Amino acid sequence: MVRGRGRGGMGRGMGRLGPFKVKPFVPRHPFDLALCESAFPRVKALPDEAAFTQALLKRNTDLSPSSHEQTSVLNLVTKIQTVMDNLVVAPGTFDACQLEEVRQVGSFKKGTMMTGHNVADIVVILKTLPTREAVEALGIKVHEDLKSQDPHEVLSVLTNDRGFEVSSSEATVRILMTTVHHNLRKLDPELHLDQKILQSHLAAIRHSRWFEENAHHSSIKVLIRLLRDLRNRFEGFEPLSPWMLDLLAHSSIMNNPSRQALPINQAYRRVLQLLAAGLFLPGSAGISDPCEGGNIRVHTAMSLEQQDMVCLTAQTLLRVLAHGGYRRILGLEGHGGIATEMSVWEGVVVSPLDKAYEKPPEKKDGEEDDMEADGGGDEAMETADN
Amino acid sequence: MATNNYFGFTHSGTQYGTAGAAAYQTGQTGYAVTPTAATAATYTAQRAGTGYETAYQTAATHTTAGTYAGWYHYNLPDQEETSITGEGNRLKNWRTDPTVVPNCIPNQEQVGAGTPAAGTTYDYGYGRTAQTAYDSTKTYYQQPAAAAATYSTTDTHYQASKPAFSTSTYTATTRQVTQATPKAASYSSAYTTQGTPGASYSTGYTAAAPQTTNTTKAAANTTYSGYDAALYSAATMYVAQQAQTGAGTGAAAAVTTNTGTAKSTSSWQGYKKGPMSGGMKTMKPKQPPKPQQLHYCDVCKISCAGPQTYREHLEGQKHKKKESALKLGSAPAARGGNALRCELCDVTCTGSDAYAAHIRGAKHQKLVKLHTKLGKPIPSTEPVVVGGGIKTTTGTTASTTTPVKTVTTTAAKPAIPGAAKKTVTAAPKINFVAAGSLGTVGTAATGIKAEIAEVKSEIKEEPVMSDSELALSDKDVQPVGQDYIEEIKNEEGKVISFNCKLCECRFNDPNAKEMHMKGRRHRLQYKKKVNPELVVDVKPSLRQRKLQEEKLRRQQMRDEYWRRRDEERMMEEEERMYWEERRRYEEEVEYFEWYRRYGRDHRGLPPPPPRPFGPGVPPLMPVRRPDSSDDRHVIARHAEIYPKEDELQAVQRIVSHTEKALKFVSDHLADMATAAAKQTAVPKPLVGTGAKTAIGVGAKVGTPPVKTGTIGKPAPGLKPAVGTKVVPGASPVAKPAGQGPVPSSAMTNKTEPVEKPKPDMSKEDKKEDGRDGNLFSFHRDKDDSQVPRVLKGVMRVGVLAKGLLLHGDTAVNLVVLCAEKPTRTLLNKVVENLPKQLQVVAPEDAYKVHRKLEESAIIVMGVKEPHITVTITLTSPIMREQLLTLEGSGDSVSVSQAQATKDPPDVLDKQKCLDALAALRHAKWFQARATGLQSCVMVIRILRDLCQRVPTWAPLNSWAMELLVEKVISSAAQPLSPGDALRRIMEALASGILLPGGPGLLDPCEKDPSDAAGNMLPQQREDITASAQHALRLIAFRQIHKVLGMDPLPPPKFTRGRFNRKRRRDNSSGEGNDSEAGDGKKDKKEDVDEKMETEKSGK
Repeated sequence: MVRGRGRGGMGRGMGRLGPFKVKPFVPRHPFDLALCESAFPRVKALPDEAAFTQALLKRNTDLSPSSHEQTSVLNLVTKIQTVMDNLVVAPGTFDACQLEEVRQVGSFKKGTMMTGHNVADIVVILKTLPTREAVEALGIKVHEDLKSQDPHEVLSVLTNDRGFEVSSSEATVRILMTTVHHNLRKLDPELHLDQKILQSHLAAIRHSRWFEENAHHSSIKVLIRLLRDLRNRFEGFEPLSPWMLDLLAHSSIMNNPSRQALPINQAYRRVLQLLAAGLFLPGSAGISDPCEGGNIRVHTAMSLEQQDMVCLTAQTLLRVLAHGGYRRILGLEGHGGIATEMSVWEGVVVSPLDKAYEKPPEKKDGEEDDMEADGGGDEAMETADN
Repeated sequence: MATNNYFGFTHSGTQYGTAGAAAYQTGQTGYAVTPTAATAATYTAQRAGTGYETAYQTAATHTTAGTYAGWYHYNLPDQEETSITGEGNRLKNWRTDPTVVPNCIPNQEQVGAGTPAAGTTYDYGYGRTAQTAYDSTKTYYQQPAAAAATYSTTDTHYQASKPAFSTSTYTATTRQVTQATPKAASYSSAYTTQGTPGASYSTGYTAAAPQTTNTTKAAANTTYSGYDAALYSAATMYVAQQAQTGAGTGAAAAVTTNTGTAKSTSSWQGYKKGPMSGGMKTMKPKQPPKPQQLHYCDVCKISCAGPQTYREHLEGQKHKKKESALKLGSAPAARGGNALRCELCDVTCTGSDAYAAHIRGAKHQKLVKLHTKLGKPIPSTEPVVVGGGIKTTTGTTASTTTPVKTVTTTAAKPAIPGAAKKTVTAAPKINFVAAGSLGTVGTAATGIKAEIAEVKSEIKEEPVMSDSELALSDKDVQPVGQDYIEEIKNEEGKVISFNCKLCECRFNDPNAKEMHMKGRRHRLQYKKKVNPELVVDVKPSLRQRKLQEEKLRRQQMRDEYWRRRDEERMMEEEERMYWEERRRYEEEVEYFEWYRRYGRDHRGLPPPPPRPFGPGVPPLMPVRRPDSSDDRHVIARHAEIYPKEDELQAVQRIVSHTEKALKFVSDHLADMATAAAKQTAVPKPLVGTGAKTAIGVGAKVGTPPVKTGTIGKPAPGLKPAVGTKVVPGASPVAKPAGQGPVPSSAMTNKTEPVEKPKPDMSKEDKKEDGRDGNLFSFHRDKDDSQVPRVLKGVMRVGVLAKGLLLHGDTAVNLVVLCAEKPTRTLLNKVVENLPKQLQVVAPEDAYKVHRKLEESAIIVMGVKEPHITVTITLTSPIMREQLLTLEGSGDSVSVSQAQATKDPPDVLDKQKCLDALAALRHAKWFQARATGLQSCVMVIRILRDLCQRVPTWAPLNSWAMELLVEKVISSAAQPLSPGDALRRIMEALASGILLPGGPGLLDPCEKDPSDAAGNMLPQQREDITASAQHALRLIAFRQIHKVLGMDPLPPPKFTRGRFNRKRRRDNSSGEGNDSEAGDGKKDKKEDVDEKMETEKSGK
């Protein structure tokens, strides 16, 4: 029992700290200049960043979908939503599954869609369990209904692991299947969709709800779009999920002492600063997920290696940015190799960084185990006595 | 007739079916309230309900049972038994004399008036319920009703008493009652004939028992078989049963013992003899002697050609098997709501189609024929729906489902006849009685009457019970999961078979597919895999139930366990906090102890752990979190770079000597100046020597110079004067010095806040060097001359003042403040005089003194090993004052010009002087801001080491670094541990605080905003940032040792200290744990006790 207690308090995430960290692990928010500006009064005036801001805005314009794109996606979404709603209200003869709710999620819903990515997401919550057959049947049903509405439109329905996709020539709607909460533990991996996926779809609903409530500021949307673009262009940012980007953008813009939205150029730089300062490294408080209980830090979804990768990329980019390389970062000129190759900015050589993460040694040292084993022995005896 | 009966019943049966089990319950209430009108309905309903329930028992149809079956679908041996026993009980209660009385008489005696009424009511009831369906049967019913009327009354009594012994606490009481009633009726004739007193009671009890527990029931069965063995074929069932009990088989004995009355057994035996001897026939005049002709096995439902075959059959495997199956409880387990049972063949079918097939089948037909031939009652072809009833019956938890519990409670102890009687009188609640039929040869013998005497309100509650159940058992189950059945087609596209993907089974017949889709198994699969909402009724088998109970119990235990563990952990946590606190306190105390010791010892220490020197005592108990791995590394590294004791002492020594020597130099210069002033009366301030009155050494003029030396403690009381050192050269200028200490007014003219006058100068414990990091003023108490001293004081600056000395550091700095702008002349004078004074101060130590004109400094170097060098810089606050005022008024060019014009020609390098002044301010700032900040100094030392070690970091000057660290650490919301602090520094650097475009480090010690790190080149900034970024990630990924330039520490074993750990262990394995364990045991015992109790009460 001794061991159990000693270990228990330690905090799961930090197991490698060794068993003697007694206090529960309290992650710390990393250094954030925006939060402690008072300690760092500016010696010189802020450099003029008008050009940078302009570049950011231009990039955003480039990334935003055209109205035509938006319309085509919207049309398809509306149709499918109608079909689905009908199925919810009056399932009629369709009995392969029962629909509980249909909700739009994702970038289209949030208004952060990017051009060339005309995909909207709809989550369908089933009352029944999401068997693959049910998904297929629903796909067929939706297809049929869409056909009957508009026989001329050419639509394709493709089933995948997450649900199915309905695509027209110009837009795609992903139907993401999930089921009601209490069904989740009844799932059988043999028969049903993957539980992780289902949960992620439920989470997507929460996310879009949260977004509606908290992140409607247009600066945030602009920043999200820019960050998504950044993620697409720099391979080191690959592990960042859209949800992390949303949270990052939100916190970067809104989380400052004045609680007023920061200008986009500052916010953009701040994102890189935060990442570079290790916001998403182990031991950091990171950003705790507002849509999950239990203070889950979003970045823990990434592997340690990925965390290192993200941080490293951000660090390099931050230095490039500091030396005036924003056009390259924004992809307005040159190629994206700056994160991995040496570059020169006004005589300053910016070199990429190496990974810091190392695979932990497989085995812990034996002695400690012995000691632990002793404790365990006692415990076993005690319990046996009981 | 019998068939008719069945027929009639089928109709009524269906009606019940649709009505739902609810009717059953309500029916009882109905009895209760309105004996007459409602009876019928209620009765029927009840029958239906009982039918369901009994089905689970599925005993072989008894002959007599069959007769009952004429009236009721169900026929359960044990139930009959109950009835019998009940009957017996009643008998016992009512009749003391064993005389055989014709059926009706006793009843009438009992409730003479009641009988006819009962009969009518019964009829009426039937008419109502059966309505059209019953037309034909009605007459038939009426007859038996009339006949039965007589004993029906007795039945009433019996019933009343019966609840009393049905005590057995389980839910099914109601059911039992109902069941019992019909049998009672059937038996009634028997009892009339055989009115043996006493015996009945016990049996009744046993009968009740089997229903509750399967084992007892099994016992009943054995007895039954025994009877079979006796070949008393075709005997009426009650006879049979009595025979069983009477047969004296072990089982029977057990049964009786169950009741706990030995007397009853004997009575039974006596009774048994009766039937054996053939008294049976007399008892039952209606029973024809036919049985001998046919050897019919009730268990297997077959007839045998002769006694021989019959015996063989009884010996045979098949029979034995069936028998044992019967014994082992509800033989063919019911299948849930849509299982259909053919009572006759004792076959359970999964669906109506299967049932229909069975009915059509040869086997069934054959049996029907046989039964017809035998004159045995043939149950209705209407299938008995199994399942709903079962649920209720099996729901063992007495409290939940027993609607009739009131009845049971009263009669808990039926063992004593008297008590039983009492119960009878006390609780005459259920008044409904059904009479059994005694038909042997094709005629259904007796009618049944239901009679209601009194009504108990509690019974009203019953209907609720099986309401849903019946509804469930409706056969219109919607087929589900059509989509999961795939059709397998042959080459021609014709569907040849179906494959259910859910259940992984195949069938060829579309009908089979339909049935499968309605089937329980399929539904279960569907529920499990597709729609968890789907209602599939449970099929509770004993084993499952046990498992479930077990599971529940385990769950409870687990909960309990966790709860306890949580509590434990909380206690543990508290305890741990206590020890942690305690340890911290001890450490703290130790630390102060240590410091005090060194403080006293005058062995001299630079302010190594600089905290105590800060303004005010640092908080006694800084919040310290236990060490993380980072902390441990940082602390370990810090210990490595921290200077060794002897190093510290060496530094301390040379610095102290130098300071003292400087003071003497100052005195010397002052004396000279005074002398010069006296002679010339002209102050020569610019030369720097004059105008200073040197002060004699207190009262002891002319005394040999007292060299208190390093010990330097003024002997209080001996000397009224405080000045402890006597400068030899100063003695000639004996002054009539004032005795008392004169408050020093020196240096008040300074505008710099840093150079504060030392108020404690005049105190007894006057310091003799600058080890506290403050200005060591050369001023003396009786400095009353008009000539100001040239050398006002000396102060430690840089690493020495800040306590940032590292291992291997040999260079320290002192700054001497001058009253005027320091000149080369002054410097030379000091250089000349210093060695002499050093000689005086420390005769045993050899020092070399150099002059470094270009540095505007004097260097004192130890000749001995560590070669510590002390750099003494002369400066004057005037340099800066001038600068500041000038800067305030005009541009800097004119300033320098102005200076140039005003300053003496040999004034020392201005920048050096200013730097020295800045160093003074930095030292002050450091003591004010950094020393008190947790982890700050430690991290600064670490970073200083880093800057020395790693060339990349070299450009970061120490002042900028100190500023940065202080700002970063103080901007954190909470105090940081060393590891966290270091990480935060790296975070700040990594986030580009030094990069171009960053805010810069505002220097708090300059009037104008200036960047402390402003002189760094962009490339240097870039490199440091990149390095910090990498370092940050190294720290984050547990490789802080790489950042610190050390080997990784092994995981700590005893970081918390042996002592601590030991304590904890002791504690946890000591009283704390013991008591907990004790609690656990206690809890467990209690649990067990409770369990046993419940078990007992269950029995």
